[in-house]
Amino acid sequence: MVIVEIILSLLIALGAGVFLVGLSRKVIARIHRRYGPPIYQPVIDVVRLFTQQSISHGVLFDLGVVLSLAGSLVTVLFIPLGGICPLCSSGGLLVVIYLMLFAPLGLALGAGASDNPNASIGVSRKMLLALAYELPLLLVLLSVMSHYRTVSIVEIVAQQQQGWWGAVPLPLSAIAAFLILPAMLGIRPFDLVSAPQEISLGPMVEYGGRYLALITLQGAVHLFVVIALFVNLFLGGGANVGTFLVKVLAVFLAGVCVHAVMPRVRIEDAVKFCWKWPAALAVLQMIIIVLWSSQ
Amino acid sequence: MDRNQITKWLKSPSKMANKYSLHAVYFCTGCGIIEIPPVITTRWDAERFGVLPVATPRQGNLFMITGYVSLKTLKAIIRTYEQMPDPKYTVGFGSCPINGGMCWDSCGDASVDPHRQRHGGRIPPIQEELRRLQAESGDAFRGAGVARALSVRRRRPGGESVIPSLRKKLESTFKDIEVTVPEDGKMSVSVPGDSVPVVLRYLKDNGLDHLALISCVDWIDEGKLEVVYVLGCYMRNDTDVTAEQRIHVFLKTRIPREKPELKSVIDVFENAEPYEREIHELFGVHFDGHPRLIPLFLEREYDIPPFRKDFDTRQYVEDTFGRIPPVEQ
Repeated sequence: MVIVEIILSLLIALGAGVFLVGLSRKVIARIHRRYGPPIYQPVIDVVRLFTQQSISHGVLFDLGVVLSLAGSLVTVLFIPLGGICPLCSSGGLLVVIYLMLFAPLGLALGAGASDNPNASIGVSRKMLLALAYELPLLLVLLSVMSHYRTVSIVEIVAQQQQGWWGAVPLPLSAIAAFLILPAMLGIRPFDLVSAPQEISLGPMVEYGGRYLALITLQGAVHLFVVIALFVNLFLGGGANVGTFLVKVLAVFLAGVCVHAVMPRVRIEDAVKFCWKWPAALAVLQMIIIVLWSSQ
Repeated sequence: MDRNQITKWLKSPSKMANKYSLHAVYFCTGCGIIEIPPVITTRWDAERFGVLPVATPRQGNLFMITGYVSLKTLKAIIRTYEQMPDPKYTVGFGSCPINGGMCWDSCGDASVDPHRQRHGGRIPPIQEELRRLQAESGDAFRGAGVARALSVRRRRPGGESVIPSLRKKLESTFKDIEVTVPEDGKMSVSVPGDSVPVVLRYLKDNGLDHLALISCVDWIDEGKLEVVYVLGCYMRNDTDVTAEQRIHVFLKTRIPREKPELKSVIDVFENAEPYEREIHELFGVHFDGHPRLIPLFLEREYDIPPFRKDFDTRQYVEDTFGRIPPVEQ
């Protein structure tokens, strides 16, 4: 039974992630008043990349991709997807916090092995950006955990299903989490890690062929994981997979609308922003919770 | 996606995926790239066919060379091409990479027109390489439906060539004139320096109403500077003018290097003003009657105009910039 759930949740994550990527291209095109590619365009791209010649730069280069994809896929197993959650009995949020670091670390490993200066710049930007959004993210997660008095995501979702959605008792945390969402997803205004016009896709600069196909899939899964986490913490998760995916879609579309109209910020501005507004909101919420619960 | 395509997808997914997922690497050295922004943005939207610009050759499978190919850029082109994974397509885009475009006569041109054998065997290996690249450019972009948006206007063949009659007229009107026809649609006219404005006005009255460029060549061994006026025809009505009637004329004149003087042709072609100013600045040719022969680009003083062949660029750079101390001191 657990095996079936594992396979099912991985398939949901992959399918939904790839669908979201395709949808984002379509929606962005429509916002730009273009017709846009078909929604299945990422599938075509991935098929094409799998048939292309792949150029490797050594063992670490290959392993980085695998580690990154594996990290993203394993994270899915710890996040409840509207009732399906194969490994939720252990760890909860704490495990997710750790596992979510695997993807960028894997990419950094592979990028380092590629010996490309653009990749190094991209990796250093990625690490700085992670530093920028981890601070508000951890504060947000801390307030969520102390409000619901548990680290289990299933428990948090269950409490929300009985009462209000998490965004109602924790509005400032929800806003802070939404503000750092583009940074976690690597979309504009925080797409400075993969900035194609400046540093040629940063860490991915040397990846092509099958490697790039795997990275595309990893990106899709990562996208799904981050939004699923947001939905679980603040939008009440889902009673079943259907409602859950609808909520994921809504959050993603909000993010894409920001993405489509924003320019890119510089790295120091990104750090300044993340440590100023989201962090301030998260700290404020933290104080409120502490005062509230001490009464 | 219609039903025919589904069977094609099932039969050869990799082929169809390569057709509908073209990620383009642009090599833009010239004005051909001007066509790209409308293609990838709202006007033509190439993304609806899966055509997307990518940032690195590792991820592309379509290589678009959109500009003049000189011997120096050719190296970069070949290196970029070799970095792209197979299968890949290459498109030489516009007249510049294909036959040299308006710079077809220059000494650095390494374009790929197989009918042209100049340069006396100096470039062929590289040319072969680029020709091979070009031969691999399939119908990829056309398959994506973008060719219509990208293709230049086709010239209608047929009609009588105007070159023989124009040549006869020129030779009967002017005395010291030498006319050659290097290839179809192009005519080269050599005149002495004094008669340049007269000949230009005559050509202008005979349909060559577009001064595309004035350039200069330093023939240091012969002690001459050659000024070249490139003339063309504006397109008035596509259906009336055939390829044979649309010609280019290169008016060349050689003047001594020691005292290079020419009459300005601004009263014939008004747009000659910046070209003459540029040649005055870079080659030291004095244009009589030019209203403002002041420097156009350069900031410093030079004893020899910097584009002449006896100007030692390396020495100049060392003298000018080598003495600047490093920041630490």
